[in-house]
Order: sequence, then C-alpha cells, then structure tokens
Amino acid sequence: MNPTLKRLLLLLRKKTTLLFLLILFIGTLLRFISLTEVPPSLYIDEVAIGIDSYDVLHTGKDQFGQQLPLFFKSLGDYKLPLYIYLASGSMFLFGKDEFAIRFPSALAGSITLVVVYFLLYEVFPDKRKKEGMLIGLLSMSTLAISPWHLHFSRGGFEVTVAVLLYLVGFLFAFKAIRAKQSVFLVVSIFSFVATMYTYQSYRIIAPLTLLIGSLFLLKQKYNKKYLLIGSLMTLLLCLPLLLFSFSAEGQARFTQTSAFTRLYTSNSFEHMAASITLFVENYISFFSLSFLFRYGDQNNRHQIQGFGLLFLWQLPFIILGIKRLLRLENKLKVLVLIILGLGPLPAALALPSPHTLRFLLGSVGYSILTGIGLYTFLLTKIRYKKYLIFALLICICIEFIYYLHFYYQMYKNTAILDWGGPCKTVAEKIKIEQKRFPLTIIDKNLDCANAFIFYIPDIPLQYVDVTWYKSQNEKQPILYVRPFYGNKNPDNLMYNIYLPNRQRDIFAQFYKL
Amino acid sequence: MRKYILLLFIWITEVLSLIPWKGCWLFTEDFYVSLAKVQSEVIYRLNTATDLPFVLARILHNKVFVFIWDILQSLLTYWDLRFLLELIGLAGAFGIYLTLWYIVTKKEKRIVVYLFLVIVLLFEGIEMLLQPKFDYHYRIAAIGIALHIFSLIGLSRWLNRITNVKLLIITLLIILTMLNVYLLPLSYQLYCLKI
Repeated sequence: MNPTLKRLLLLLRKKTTLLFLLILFIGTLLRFISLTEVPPSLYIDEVAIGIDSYDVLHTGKDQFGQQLPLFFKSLGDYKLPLYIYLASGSMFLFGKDEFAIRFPSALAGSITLVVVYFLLYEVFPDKRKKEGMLIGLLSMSTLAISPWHLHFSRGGFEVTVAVLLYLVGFLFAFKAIRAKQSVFLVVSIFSFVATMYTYQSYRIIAPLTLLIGSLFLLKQKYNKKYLLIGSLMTLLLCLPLLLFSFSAEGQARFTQTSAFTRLYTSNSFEHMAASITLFVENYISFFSLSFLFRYGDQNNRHQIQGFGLLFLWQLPFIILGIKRLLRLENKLKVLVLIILGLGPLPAALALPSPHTLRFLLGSVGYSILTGIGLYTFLLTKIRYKKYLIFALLICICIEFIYYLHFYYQMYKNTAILDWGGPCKTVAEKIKIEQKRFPLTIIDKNLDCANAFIFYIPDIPLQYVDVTWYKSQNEKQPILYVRPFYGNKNPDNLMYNIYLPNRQRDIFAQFYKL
Repeated sequence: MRKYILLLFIWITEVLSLIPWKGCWLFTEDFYVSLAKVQSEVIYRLNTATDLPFVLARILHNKVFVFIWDILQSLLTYWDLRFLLELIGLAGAFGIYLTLWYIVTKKEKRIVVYLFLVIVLLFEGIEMLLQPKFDYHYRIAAIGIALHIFSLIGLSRWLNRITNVKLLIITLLIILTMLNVYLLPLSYQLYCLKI
C-alpha cells in the first residue's frame, strides 16, 4: 500500500474521536450559522408552527382555542404535533423569533450526524468494528456537508426531526438484536412511533419499517414474547393516529396532494391501470439523475436553483458503494435498502413528484453509500492513487465552496419570494408607524397576513381588496400598505420596501392617506 | 429461444416508446449547452451576487466554470432514468443500467460493448454541443436506436439464465412500459418541445 495512504488510514483509525468531534463541529456550525438570515424569511408553514408554538407555550391552547391538541388545525389541513411542541420548548428558551422556530430542526440535523456514525458502527460485527468506524466517519462527513440535508436542517421543517427519530429507531433496533435487551426494543418502537407524530410521510414509512423489522427479528429467532409485547405497544401508541387517519380531517392532506385524483380516464379499470403506472413512474423519478444532481424538485424553497441535492463528485462513489454493499453485512444492506426503497413510497402517491422534502431520508441513504464508496476507494490498489486522492479533494473543495457561496450569499437574494418575501421588514415598519396612525389598512394581495399574526399580533390590521379607497367621511390618518402595482412614485407614497436584488424590485409600498 | 423472444418483445416496447417522439421538434433546453446560454447564466449570477466584491464574483462566476458545469449536468440528463423511461420504455431503461453495471463491475469485457457506449456518447455529445442542422427526427432516431442496442446488450447477458424471478420482472416491465405508452402518452413532453 502507498505510504501516504497508509498514513491516512492510520490517522483515520487512531484519531477517530478527534475526527468525529471535528466533523460534528463543522456540521453543527454549518447548520446554525446565520440561522435567522438564511433562509431569508419565515415561509407560511414555519409561521403557522410559530403561531401555534407560541400560543401553546403561553395559553396551553392552539390558535383556534383547542386545549393542548394532538393534531393542530392549520391552513387547509392538520399538522402533526411533535415539532410544534418542540418549537414551544425552544421558544421558552430563546423567545419568539425565527431562531426558536428553526432550532429543533437544526439541532435534529446535527444530532443525525452522530446517530449515522453510531448506526454504522452498530451494524458491523465486533470483529470488524474498525471498518464500521471508518465507514461511519466518511458517511457522517458526507452528510455533514450534504446540500440536501443541510438545506432542510436550516428551515423549520418537521421532516428533519422525523429523519432523526427514524434513524434512532434503527440504531436501537440493531442494539436490541445484538444485546438481546428488551429496553432497546422499547426505545426503538417509541422512536418509530414518534416519527408518525412528526411528519405525514412517516405515517406510511414507519409502520412498513416496523413490519419488515418484525419479520427480520423473527428470522433472527428473537424472543417472540418481546415481539408480541412490542406489537401491542405500537398498536396502543398509534391508536390516536389511526383514529385520526380514518377521519375526514386526517385524510385531508392525502386528498389535497394525491397523485391519482387528477387522472383523466374513461372507466375504473383504466383508472386503476393508469394509477399503477403513474405510481411506478413517480417512484422511479426519485432515482432520476436530474432530480439528484441537477434540479431537485425545482421548488426554490427546497434547494438552490441550479444545484442538485447531491454533489457531482458523489456519483462515482455512490456506484462504488452499491457495488461494495452487495458484499457487506446483511444488516447494512437491509438498512440502506429500507432507507432508499421505502423512503419514496408515500411521496410517490402524491404530487408533485419527485419531492425533495418528502424524501429527505434519501440524503442519509446516499451519504452512507458515498461513505462505503469512499472507503472502498481508499482501500483499493490502483496506480497514481496519491494523485487521484489529491484531485478528489480539490473537486470536493471546489464544489463545496461553490455551494457555500451560493447558499450563504446568493440564496437569500434569489429565494426571498419563495420564503414568503420580506414580510418581517414590512411588519417592523408597521410597528414603528402605528404610533402615528390609529388605523392600518393592508391590501390582501400582499400575502403577509400570517406573518403579521406572528410578528405583530397586538396591532389591529384591516385587510381590504385591491379596489379599496379612503372614504370622504374618514378623517383620521390611515397607513395603507399594498404590494407594488407598477407606479414607483404615486401620490401620498411614504416609502417603498425593496427586495434585496440588484434591480431593487419593490415588494411593498407604504402610503399615508 | 425464450431469451430471443423476450428480447424481441422488449425491443418492440422500446420502438413503441420512441414513436410518440416524432411529434417533437427539439429536446428541451436542459439537453443543450451553448455559449449564449452560458453567457446569460453568468450575467444572471453576477447580478445576483450583490454582497460580493466584483472581482471575487468574477472568479466564482465565469464562463469556463459555468461551461464545464453545464456540460456535466447536460450529459447527466441524457442518462436520466426518467428520460430513458420515456424515450425507450421501462424495460429499455432497465437494460441501459444493466449494461452500465456490467461495464462498471468489469463483467463485460467485449470491445463491441465499449464501442456502443462510445457511439451513444458521441451521438449525445453532438446533439448537446453542436445541434446539427439535419432533421431532428433523424437525430432522435439515431440516439434512440443506439440506446436500444446498448440496452439489449445488457438484457441479453442478464437473460442468459432465465429464472422465474427474471421472467416475472421482465414481464412486469413490458406491461408497465405498454401501460405508460397508452395511458400516460403525454409524459414525454417533459423532455421535448412539441411541434
């Protein structure tokens, strides 16, 4: 073996703890730095979470007056409770702001790195723990800088917490198999069930995983008594969710997003055949190269425009990882297969498809494959390896720096409207102006109503249509806020609120009437 | 004999998937790289990087970098699973990835396979960079037929020993391809501009 490579592998082995802490530090830093500024604003779901979290914290009720609800009524559907209660906790610590809403997600994203390391450590048998440690470190570092995982860890997305809990479920399931201790099984079941109370997709993924897990444990001749108790416990914990799922409210989300309601077919047989085909097509789309490496799901809120979900340098290592995986431990195969195979299942039932957010689990799956691929590459004997490693490091650095520049510097300008626009700035201005104006009128088309409930709940605002005008009888001064309709300097204009782009497009206009 | 009957069926589904594409006159923008496209992308990026000093912005956003990036991304689009599904059907796409897998795992050592890989890449490269003047239908047919042969190579090897599982998989893929052609006939428009 090449002496440089030997030194590198030795370093990886000897300084595992140091490297582990370093990767964790970098990963956490990337997830927390400028958390309130990038993403640039709170989008509509984050605002809804913020309002409910604050209300629950201070009154014990949600915004509709429901006492400590298990399912939160929201905009057109019902939200699952776990993230809202976590955000309540962070609001208690940090106050009512963007940081508090995003904190649970960023923290979950950082802890996921730790869990991925220990998960990979766990799947390898005692004799090959070193291999597990190295693959764990490489996968953890890939996930730490993964654009896909990083992006969602920095927004108030419930799915990040769900992914963490799902992986914790796996970790303790593997521990339960190895140590044959029922307490690990209980923790594992709790984690899997908790994912179902965190994000909608896991209402399908988690039960299927538990089913496959039970079959796997039965095959491993695991104590049947524990399995039976575990199944009963799962059923009991899921009961409220089951009842909710069969109610009209519980099905609202599925009805809204179902991929099969918009198929135009002449009879039910044709509809069924078309539905199956569409499902397969949707499912396959989650493995499309354009989705993974070029566009994502083309929703600017879910990734950076022009950037994929994975780095291009990962592609050869993912292929190498798949090749190597076929010869590795069964547990690892099952883990990767379940993560990448079950992950897109619920998302393929819905539109739009593919969907980056609903398949966040994929970021972990592909990071593990990349980790295995990198490990295989480091061990394989090839000519000019030293130079290849050097070239690889250059590629990784260039793509990563490029990504960081796009994310931390350009994204806040290019995606401001996808994140709800500069509603916070408008709210702050209204707060200042309201001392001079007893009445504030807002044009409905400004689309900041929820943000105003969050930022300035105590200021009375009156919402009007675009056709509104001040009546002759109205004597008191009015602050009128409306979106930009084309006139840059109309009469009575106080000032404009601009978007942060070079053209300085106008987002809102403040009038004194 | 069974193997060749199956391959014939697969090839028929591949041709049937390709037929609707005669209604197109060009691939979508994602499949092409041009200097004009690169230039407009650089201008857009420079206009967006408002917080950076201009010199640093130029270092990060220049034509060379964007050009290389664009070529890699466009090349990936030609091997995209969803695109291949629409162009040559699900069974064909499966065959393409099988052939690539045999190449990557070094199980396939015949020179003819590598030759076809080069031909496919050549056709795609010409389309991507040069957009030749002759009729689009010939160009798409050339890419399509090259991909047909490339996929049948992998499938042929895979079907050397036909087991019940393989038979089931192939039958399912053929059925799904046919259903896709007849029940969702407009999906290919995601990748081409219609006449």
